[in-house]
Amino acid sequence: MAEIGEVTLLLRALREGETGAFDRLVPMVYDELRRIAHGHLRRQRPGGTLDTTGLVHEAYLKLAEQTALDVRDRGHFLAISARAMRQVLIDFARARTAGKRGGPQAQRVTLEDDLAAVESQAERLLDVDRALERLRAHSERLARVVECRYFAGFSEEETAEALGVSLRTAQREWLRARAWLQRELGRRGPAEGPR
Amino acid sequence: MTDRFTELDRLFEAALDVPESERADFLAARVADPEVRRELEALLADAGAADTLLPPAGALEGALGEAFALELAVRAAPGEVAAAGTTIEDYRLVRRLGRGGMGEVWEAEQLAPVRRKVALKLVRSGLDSEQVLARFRSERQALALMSHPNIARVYDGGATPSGRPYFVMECVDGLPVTEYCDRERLSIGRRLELFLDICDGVQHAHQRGVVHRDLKPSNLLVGIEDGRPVPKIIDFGIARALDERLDQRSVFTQFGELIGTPEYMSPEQAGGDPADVDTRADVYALGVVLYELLAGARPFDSETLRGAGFLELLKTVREVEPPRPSQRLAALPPAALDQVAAERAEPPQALVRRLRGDLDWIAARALEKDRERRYGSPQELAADLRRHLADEPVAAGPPSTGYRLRKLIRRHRVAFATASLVAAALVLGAGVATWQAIRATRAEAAARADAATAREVADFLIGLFEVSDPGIARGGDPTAREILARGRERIEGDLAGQPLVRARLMLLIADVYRKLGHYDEARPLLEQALASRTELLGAADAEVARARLALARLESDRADDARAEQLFHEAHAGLAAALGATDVETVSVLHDLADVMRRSGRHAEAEELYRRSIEAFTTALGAEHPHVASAVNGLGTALYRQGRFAEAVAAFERALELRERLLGADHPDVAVTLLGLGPALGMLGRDAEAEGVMRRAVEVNERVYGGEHRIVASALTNLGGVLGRQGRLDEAEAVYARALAIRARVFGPDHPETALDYKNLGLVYSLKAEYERAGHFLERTLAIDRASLGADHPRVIWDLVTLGGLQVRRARFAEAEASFTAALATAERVLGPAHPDVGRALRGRARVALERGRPQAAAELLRRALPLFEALGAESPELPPTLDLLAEVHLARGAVAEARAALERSLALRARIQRAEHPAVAETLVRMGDLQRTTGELEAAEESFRRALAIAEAALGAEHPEVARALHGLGLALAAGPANAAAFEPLERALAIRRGVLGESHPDTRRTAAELARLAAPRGRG
Repeated sequence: MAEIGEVTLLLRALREGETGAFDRLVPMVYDELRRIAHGHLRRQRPGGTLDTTGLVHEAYLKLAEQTALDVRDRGHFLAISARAMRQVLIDFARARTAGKRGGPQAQRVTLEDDLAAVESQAERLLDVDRALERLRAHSERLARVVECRYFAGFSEEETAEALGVSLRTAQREWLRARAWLQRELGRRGPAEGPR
Repeated sequence: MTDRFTELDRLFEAALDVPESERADFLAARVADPEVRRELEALLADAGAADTLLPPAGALEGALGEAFALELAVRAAPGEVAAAGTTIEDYRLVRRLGRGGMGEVWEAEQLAPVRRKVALKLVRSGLDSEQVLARFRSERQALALMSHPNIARVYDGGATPSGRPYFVMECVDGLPVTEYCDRERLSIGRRLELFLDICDGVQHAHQRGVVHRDLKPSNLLVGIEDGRPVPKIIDFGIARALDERLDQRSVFTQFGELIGTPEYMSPEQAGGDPADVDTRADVYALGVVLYELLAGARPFDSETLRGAGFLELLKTVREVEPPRPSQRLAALPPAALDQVAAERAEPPQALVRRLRGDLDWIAARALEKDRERRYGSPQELAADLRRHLADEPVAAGPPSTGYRLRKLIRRHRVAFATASLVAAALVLGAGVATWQAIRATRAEAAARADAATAREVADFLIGLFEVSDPGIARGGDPTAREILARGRERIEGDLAGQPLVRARLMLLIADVYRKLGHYDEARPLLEQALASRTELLGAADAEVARARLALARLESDRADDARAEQLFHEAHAGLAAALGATDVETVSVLHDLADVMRRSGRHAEAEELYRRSIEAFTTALGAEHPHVASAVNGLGTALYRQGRFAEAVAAFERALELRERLLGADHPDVAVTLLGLGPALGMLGRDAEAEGVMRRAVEVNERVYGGEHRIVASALTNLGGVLGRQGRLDEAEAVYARALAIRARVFGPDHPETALDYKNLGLVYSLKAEYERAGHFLERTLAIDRASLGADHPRVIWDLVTLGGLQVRRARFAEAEASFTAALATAERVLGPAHPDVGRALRGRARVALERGRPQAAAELLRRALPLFEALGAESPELPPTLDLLAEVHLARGAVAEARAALERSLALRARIQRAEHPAVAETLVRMGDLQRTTGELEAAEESFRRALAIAEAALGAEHPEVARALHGLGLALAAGPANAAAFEPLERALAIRRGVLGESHPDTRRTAAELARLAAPRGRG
């Protein structure tokens, strides 16, 4: 959990610029996620599934609360949170695909079906991430939309707020970003059917 | 490109604003370039598409999102931090010594039964503490046996109330060995002395069957005792207890951090099969520590290693040859080199020279990727270091030609993908050509040495193909097949002018085909190779015999034993002529031949050959050699198959003693012998010893292969068998369930290997009269075997017969009839009319016929079945149940004398082959009782039923149908006698059991109810 000192530092970093804010936010997002996830797990029946999107949203809310942001900062905060979220997810996906090709972890799994699904999804997530980077070379803006919508699980409204644009623009840009990403992914190899 | 993107994106954006119906016009009007138009159309289509390449739900949804959340939750647990002053059972935490990925280490005070300072390792939560502790307990005995000045003792293990496992150890006050040495500026010589102490400690543990698995400087602490530095190894036994493979939640623990200490992880640990880790992983880790003590750096730069990503890391550990310590040292930046040298109290260049040669070689040997080439034990490593310190030549070094070639190929392995292994094969081919040239001009002895090297290299290449053990990778490996096919083409084309090289490579490729099970592709290659060698070298050359040997092994693998036998004989004769009859290579063919004989059931001949190979190996290699042990083990198996169990036990015990002594208690071969010895003891009725050996087999296999290996499952299956035979069904059930868990993971839940476990469990449940569960398991077995092996497979026949037996017990006679009929038809067609399985199916049908009131038909079926079983030998365990049934049939037909003869024969047979307490004895006794009751021998009948009752109750528990059967008989016998009121009690008990277990509508239940009703009716009617 973030301490007061960290929050202050984050606020300062938010004003100073993105790199510093991002570096501070990744562990905070991560800690918050862990804390909330643990709470969810405790409340949940054995064998049930966790609502990941809900969990992530709760983490944003908590962080936003702790950082006592004013309205102007909130959008900025969301945008950086989305990037942090993407980083956290990509780390996770990397770790999961690493296990796949015979790392010692690959053996530690009992739910084999799930494992296969997780790994293939993790690999596709990494593909999307790479495509996202190629898209970023053309348009930073479209890349950010993808971060918000795809990686961070933001709603259209939240995305608009994070990017400081109108709802309609956010919707429109997501449509474009998605089509471009599509093309990037298509170039990478034969298309996979939807699951 | 960006301009083009911008232009396209601008058009795209504009087009999106146009209603869909007008877009075609819009594009036609605004975009002239047809290619741009096409791209725009594609983008617009994508933007409108519902299903896209982009997984639609976003990154947080689906299996990945779930796994992510679960991992987060699990990793949140370290937040439950312990605090100083907390008391955990008998320990009070004093201060935290450290914190790492697996948890935290505390200095603690033990309060009872003794007061002392200890170290308490508190494992982070999220692990299944029960399993951790179970593993810990399984190792505890071994840990208790360890007593060595360089090993910190492990005292205790437990779990906190919140479920965090902890371990209590001797508290060591010291620094990691590398840090200590650097701080004290110890010379290389002093460092090696400390390192030798560490090797001794690890050796001590290995001899007691404990592998560390996580040796690294932070687990090697140097403290001061009596003014002298003493290294202590901590955490022995902990890594294994923490082995997370069984724990579902910890699947997710890798997130965010790399595995604990990749720098000290052996290639086999990085290789993906954690089951495949033995004591030599510790030797590797010791090699890394040695390297670090010498060169001040690890073989692989930590930053490079960790920065490269997990997959790269594993690949590096598995495949990249590290530089020698001296090279590593020389490559350090000058400032770093100066510091490292100063810490070793030597000038930089002198230090480089000090490491060059022996120490380089010793480190390289300890760090061999292939553990077969590593030092076999810490002791061997230590011995070589001692030789170095004494200026004697070290065993490690300088590398041979073969060694260098291997290195060369290994480098190729990194450079090329696996698919270009053929390139490596051709590199080899060139090498072989050189050897062939040398051969022509050299003395024969030298030539033989070269040939040996060539073979070694070939073995290595095969080893590369074996990376995915075909024994496990079912159905072969398509990539390997491709490689082989390409290799064959190249051989045909490029090597046309080098027939001998070609022959060698053909043999090589054929061997790989053989190991992958592609026999039809292997054979022509072998035959061609054999032909060209015969032509070029003459029929008497050893190489010709070797080609023939390869062909023999092929036929042996594909179970054409007659052909294999002939070829082995020819190969043996050839090698004997070329190399001499006592040459080890020649003798080992005898061993091969014996294996074939044994498999084809000619056990006496196999025995003879094993005895010959034992003698010949002993002459050539001495009595104390693993080859001798291997032949003795084979002898044990041959004796076992001949039913000479006492001699078999003696042979297995001898093999066991040899193997344990020569190979160490944890060697796979030791496990193999234990797997033979257990059943042999069981056959002698020495069930207690058998059980002990089988339990050891399970343990050793678990240690050798890890807990999750199919061989462990085989050992468990053996154990379950001996438990089941003793009627200890609950224990058997538990053991079979463990075997099932392993096979379901190793082979998958629907694999025929796994089906075997379903079947064993089904049989146990059937014996326990849990018919519903039994039915579930046996039906699943049948379904799997049918689907994966085909309807005609012998296993399917066996499954049908087993299932039919259960259906009979459940009085589902129509289903049973169908099962047995299907089994019979298939067995006769596939196995021939004389096969015992035909007999089993016939017996099943006879049972059904009898139950349906057709004793004549039953008698006819049994008349056909009995000779098939008699052919198996006078003591075949199939005979008593057949005779029992036959007696029932005779009795139903009123042929009392024949029935009695059959039962007496059955009882006599059971007395010879089974314990008197075996539940099956009760089955025969019940029938004898029935017979005696029919003939009016009421006292004898009562006696038979009471004996049956006692046996069944003891073996099967009070609520078993077999008990009810004895009670029912007893009731009838009593009812026919003068004191018929005594019949109520047994009949009522029988009825209660049958109602409970078989159900109200089962014919047996109805029968007992009818008897009770008759007994209760007025006497006048009786």
